[in-house]
Amino acid sequence: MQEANLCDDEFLLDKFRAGKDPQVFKTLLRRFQDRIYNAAFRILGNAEEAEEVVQETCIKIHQSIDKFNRNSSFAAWVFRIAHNSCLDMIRIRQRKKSMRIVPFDPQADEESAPESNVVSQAPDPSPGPAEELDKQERERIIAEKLCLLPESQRTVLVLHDIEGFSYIEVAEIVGEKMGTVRSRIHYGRQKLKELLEPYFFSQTVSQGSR
Amino acid sequence: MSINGNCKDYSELLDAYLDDELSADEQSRVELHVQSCRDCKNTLEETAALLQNLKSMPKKKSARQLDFGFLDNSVSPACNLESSSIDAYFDNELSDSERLAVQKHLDTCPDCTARLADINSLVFELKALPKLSLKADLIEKLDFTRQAETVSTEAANYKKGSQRHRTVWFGIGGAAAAAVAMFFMVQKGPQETPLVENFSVGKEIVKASKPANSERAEQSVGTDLPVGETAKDKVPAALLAEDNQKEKRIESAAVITSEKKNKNTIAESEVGTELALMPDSDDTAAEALGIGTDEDGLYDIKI
Repeated sequence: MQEANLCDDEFLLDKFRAGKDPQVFKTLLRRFQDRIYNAAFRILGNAEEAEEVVQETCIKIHQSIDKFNRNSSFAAWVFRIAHNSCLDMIRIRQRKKSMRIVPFDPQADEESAPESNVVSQAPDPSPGPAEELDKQERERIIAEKLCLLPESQRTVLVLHDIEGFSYIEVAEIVGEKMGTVRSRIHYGRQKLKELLEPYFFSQTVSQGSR
Repeated sequence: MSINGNCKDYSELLDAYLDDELSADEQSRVELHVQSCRDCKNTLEETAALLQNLKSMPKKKSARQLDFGFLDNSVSPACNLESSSIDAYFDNELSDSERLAVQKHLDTCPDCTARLADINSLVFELKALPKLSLKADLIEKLDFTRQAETVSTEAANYKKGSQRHRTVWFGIGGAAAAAVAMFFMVQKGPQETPLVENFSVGKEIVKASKPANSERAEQSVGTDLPVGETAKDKVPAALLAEDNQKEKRIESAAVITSEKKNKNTIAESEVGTELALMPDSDDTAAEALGIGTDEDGLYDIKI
């Protein structure tokens, strides 16, 4: 799946390196614009922050384009920068929180429940059979519960299950070993399933023995 | 991997060999073959290692007793597969021998089969989430004609007046200039408490944030400076306030004086807006005690 894109990315990259034409560079970046936004939004849960990640990432790519050494795919390299930018956002958000004079909230966890101005703040609907929930409801609930996962698990699920990177690429992006990625995916899925169980219990119906 | 005719026969026997299901005669034939065939030897060793792993993994949910050897087919084997194996199997991330081992396990384990189905549904839902896209083309606004540091649109507006100061350095440069401004302002004005002894960006601005001085500090920001700095063009309070977000993230690109980056950021975000008291930032006392600050601007107290 990545093969066709890879050829094109490399071609544009070489073209840009040869001529330093900003239009070529923009064309290359535009391929990633929405993907980065989508991933950043799913990781951060916040549209504004996701937009800033896109901008930040584009700037940083331009700054360090000569440092791309093709050890990884271009996409993985781009997302590595984007992921670091997401982590920055989380750090800043955390810093802002700690500067505010608010009563100490032991439930506030850096990694979970990112601020979300898109996901509705309405109380959860009472859990019901999956069939009763329409598509939008399902999506809303899943996006919401995804935000409840710790950042490390949420990130690998977004990168692997949603963006389609392989284990090894995810490992490059987040800067961890493949075994770590594998186990985070496993526990992330497990936790997400538990969170969704009240809503989509049809998922957990046991198959019974063969 | 070259498989000659012989190996094809033996590969089926290898599994049975590990399961101790071969006759003595067959066993020795396998052993003999494996001694001379590297491929089969590798496969055998890998599978043996995998089975050994499976055996030694702690039990998860199943209450059934483990009975390694799969010999007794009347009792389904306990599910002691390493927990992430099913995920990795689903994701097609296992080696050939691992995959075969899991497939074999799935044939006899309803728990893992159910888990596989769960993973399937979950991933399906995740993939079905709408792919979001930007409302506008953010890249269009970016200007990549500069070679080194690139600029953003807002930052581009601040370029006038200074070619030397790159726009990504704007905020820090502006803050530094503001500090200079205040320093000189204080000197020229009525004799009030001088803001700082040593010229240092973070501390100056922080001290300027005390309520008594706040108004004066605000006023001095953005006015003409006796110094030859082009700070006037860069320092308008409103713009600084607007650009808060950018500055905080571009901080890493900035030139800092002696202060750490973060204090700068916190400080400059206050300049031009309400200058709130920030008791924690006044770290002269802390430094006197030998307590520094770590990269987050928090006190770095070693326990």
